[in-house]
Amino acid sequence: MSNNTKGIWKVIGASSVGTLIEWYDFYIFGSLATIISKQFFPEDAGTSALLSTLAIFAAGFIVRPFGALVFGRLGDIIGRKYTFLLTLILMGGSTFAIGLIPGYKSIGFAAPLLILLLRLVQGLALGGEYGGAATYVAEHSPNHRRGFFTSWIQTTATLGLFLSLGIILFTRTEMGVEKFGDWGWRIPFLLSSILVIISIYIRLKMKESPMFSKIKSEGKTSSNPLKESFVHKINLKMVLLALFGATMGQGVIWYTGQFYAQSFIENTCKVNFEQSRTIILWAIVFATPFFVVFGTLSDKIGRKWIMLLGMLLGILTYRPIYQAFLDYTNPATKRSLVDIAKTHTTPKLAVIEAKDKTKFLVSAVYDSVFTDGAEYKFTKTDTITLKNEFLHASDPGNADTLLGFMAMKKDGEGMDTGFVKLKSMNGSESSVAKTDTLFLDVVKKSVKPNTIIEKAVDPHTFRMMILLVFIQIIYVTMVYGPIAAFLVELFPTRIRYTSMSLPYHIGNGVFGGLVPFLSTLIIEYTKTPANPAGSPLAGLWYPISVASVCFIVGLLYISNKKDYEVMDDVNVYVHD
Amino acid sequence: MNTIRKIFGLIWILLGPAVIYFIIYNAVNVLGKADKAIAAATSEAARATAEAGRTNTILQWGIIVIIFIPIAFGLIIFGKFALQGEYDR
Repeated sequence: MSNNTKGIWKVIGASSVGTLIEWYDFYIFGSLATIISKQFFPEDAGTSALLSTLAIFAAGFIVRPFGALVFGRLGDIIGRKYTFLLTLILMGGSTFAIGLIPGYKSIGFAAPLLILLLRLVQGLALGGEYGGAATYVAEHSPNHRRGFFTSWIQTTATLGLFLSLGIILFTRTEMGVEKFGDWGWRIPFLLSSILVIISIYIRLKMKESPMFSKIKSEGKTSSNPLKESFVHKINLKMVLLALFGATMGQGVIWYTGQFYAQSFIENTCKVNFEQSRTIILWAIVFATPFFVVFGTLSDKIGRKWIMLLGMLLGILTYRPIYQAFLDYTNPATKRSLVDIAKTHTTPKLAVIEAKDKTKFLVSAVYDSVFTDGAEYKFTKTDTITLKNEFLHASDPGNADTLLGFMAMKKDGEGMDTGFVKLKSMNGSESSVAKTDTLFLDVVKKSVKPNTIIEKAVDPHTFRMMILLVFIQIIYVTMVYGPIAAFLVELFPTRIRYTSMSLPYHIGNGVFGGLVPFLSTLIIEYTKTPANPAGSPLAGLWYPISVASVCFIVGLLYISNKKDYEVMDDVNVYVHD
Repeated sequence: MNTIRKIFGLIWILLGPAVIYFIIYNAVNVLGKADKAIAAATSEAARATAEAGRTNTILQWGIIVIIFIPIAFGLIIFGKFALQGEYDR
């Protein structure tokens, strides 16, 4: 490729907008997994519904490598332009359709089946998109600046996540939680169609990659890119090196720093919906320019050490970072005082089964407001079953210590009274959240109590959490900024689309995409009767282990050469 | 350095089967636990919950086995290439 950069920004712009939209389409599903599980799966399935959605989410990642094979092959045979135009149409169409599918209540099991099908199409489309866009930009880029130009494509995945979180947050805030959960969640999906139409229009005006056009006019395109990529030893060994020495580690660093961080902040630290997303959004805003910084730097000092340093920093600092998340949001470590005037408790005692008056739903909301601005809300619910039929309930008003006051008929011998007490709530004691409702002998049975905790953290903690996520996204920019150029330079033009797409999507889709899934699974295994919550940091062992293996492989087998000529058939990352 | 690359090639070859064993061992283990939970259920509701748990377990570990075993074979091939000096400089 010549060093002429005329028109390169048009190429980058057109490629990036389309890729950004594809990432947006892909991530809104993941971000709305909980709502989708309620809409499309049987209501009584509970955890099963959520897991089913996660499985579909995982399916969306797992089929990505297959998309890489299907569309990579097409891209190496018919060309880059038409292939990633096709992936854009498939992605946009399936996302729009998800926004239109009636819920389980309307069409029964057809709803989850359709969702699964469309999610698979999304995964296939994404599998074909990225490799095409990265290849297309790289093949337009001048030598010596390939890292810089392809790094713009690398910003799109993170910006796609940013856009999806931003639009969801905006829609939810504007509509209200109830309306959003009911039908408003469809808006981000439907909105995608407008973005896709614009992007298709832009992409239709683009020309084919000059390198691909050249080899096509010379009749040098591959007739069987799959065979050439994965059967011929010279290419297979590079595919394996790309996977185990780069994309595998890059994938887990990417998903830990952004997806898992958000999941951990929301589900483990119990930071509320809005703040948990806003933290990620701010961190993305501050960190995104570093994709270009490290992409540019990789043109000067080589790709290898930047990527490996990003992995190493993740390996060494993930546990301290996530421990800091826990410390910052632990009420027991808070130094500020509870603002008594603003703190209140709302007890409720309700009959939940009209026919069986021995069963009650007991709930209480504790709202602790701290002087530093933090607000921790605990909503505790429990079902209790009394020995005898309930006769009367009243709220004596002693809210801090007494949840309810009941009068019971005691075996026909007259009236007896029982108290349902909760530990005194002073706001600074996290143990309150774990305290079970205690019943006197009037209780026959108590179902496992359920406590929902929602924390609005104080401004200082909020800033520190942004900083902690920002640090992680800097690691992401280090591993991800230079990787498109690295992958492009690893393979010859005739099979580049196929060869680079597969390791990229196994690394990101499988190893990276399953970070939240597998990490949650690992935490489940650490749960014991003595420690029912499990070890919250145990899930990090998965990304740390994968990144460690990848770091060693990259360190030993990848070369740090630069000034690569991508038309070369001899690979520069192994041979001197 | 090339010797270290080859030695690590052997490690990757051994790591592949270790990963496969680890995955299958865990899959069988958790499925066994899920079966025990069904057998231990004392009510219809508890049984339904346990059966749903078993379905989820099969789903989760089915995904893990299907995806990671071929990748483990890839690691073995990668190790073989490293051992043969394909990545030597």
